[in-house]
Amino acid sequence: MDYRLLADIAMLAGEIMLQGGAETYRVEDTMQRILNTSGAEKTEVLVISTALMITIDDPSVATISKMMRITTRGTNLGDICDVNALSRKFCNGEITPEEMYEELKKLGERKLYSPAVSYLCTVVTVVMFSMLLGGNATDALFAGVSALIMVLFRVLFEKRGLNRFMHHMVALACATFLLTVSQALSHVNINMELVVAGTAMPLLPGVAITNAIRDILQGDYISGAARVTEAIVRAVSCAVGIGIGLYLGNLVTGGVL
Amino acid sequence: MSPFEILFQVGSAFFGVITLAVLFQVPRKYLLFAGITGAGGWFAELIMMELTESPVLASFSAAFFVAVLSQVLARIRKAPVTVYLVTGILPLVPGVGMYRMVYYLLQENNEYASYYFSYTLQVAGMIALAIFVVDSFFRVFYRKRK
Repeated sequence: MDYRLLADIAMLAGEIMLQGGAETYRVEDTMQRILNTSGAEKTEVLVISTALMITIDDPSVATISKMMRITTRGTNLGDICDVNALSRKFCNGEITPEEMYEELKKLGERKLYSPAVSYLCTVVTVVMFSMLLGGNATDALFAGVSALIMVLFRVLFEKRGLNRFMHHMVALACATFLLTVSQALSHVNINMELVVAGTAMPLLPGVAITNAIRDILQGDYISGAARVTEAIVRAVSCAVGIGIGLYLGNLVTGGVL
Repeated sequence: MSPFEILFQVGSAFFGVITLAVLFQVPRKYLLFAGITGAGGWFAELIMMELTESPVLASFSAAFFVAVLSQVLARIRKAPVTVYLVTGILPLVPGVGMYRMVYYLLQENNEYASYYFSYTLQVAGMIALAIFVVDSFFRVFYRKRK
């Protein structure tokens, strides 16, 4: 058994899952299962929402300890699914460690959907969300326009490394501002709250909240608390963005809010 | 609310959740079921709103429904629960409440602003509670079966 390769596999699997936004206990569980296949005397895994640590200890080898800092985190449920399936196969002995490592490497690089598809989906999501809240055809049209603004900001900021909070705040402020102004100029009556809420809802911290609860339930208080903080900061950044947009829009149009 | 409106909104929830799942990079084979979870959750929310007229109770029941459906689907389709749970919950997130809070804050109407602040917190709290309860129960039953 090549303990060093096994340690690399566990770290890579953990890295992909944590970056994809998996719950901490799930990452820990997966890594532990992978390490358990070694049959080493002692294996330990510790995962918190920003770092991974493992130790393999066996009389036959020098102790292997690895740790990794995780800086980027997004939501990639596809990666979580696939690492889960792969580790299940690996633990059942269906694939060799070498194959597993190659598969994991491929996973880290692939993209399930092209950027064009994901931009299109952003627009459809926002339109659908404002309609499910009770919006009519006019609202849907304006929601589509504000979604285009969100996409524009994503294209502008995503590669530049602006943090997510600032990105969402600026994008929402801009979208809300333009909606207020265009409503005033076109004299069309739109349900502002539905359109703006529809635009903001994909950005609201639904993922962070759900994972926070599940982490806390598992007794992972550090990760849970970290995710609760993330959720609050994200919600506040959305609210501030909307506030700035409304305020500026109101200032420019000079009308009542 | 007319049956047509309900159907229309639930349909929007279905497609909205599917496209949202694409944004979260959910693999194609799970998209349909993610959509069903989202639509089911929104249907539960609308029905409970009609019956009880309490947004807090409606959010709890809808989130409860989504959580149960996610757990069941995850077992049947052999995918992590998160795939369905995260996407299905999102239509229930209190976006309108948050908008109104900010809106009234800017209008310097503090009474309404604090009302919507506590409304938003309550709805979010109810969603959290529902996931918590369902998760706990499923964990107990799942362990027994093993």
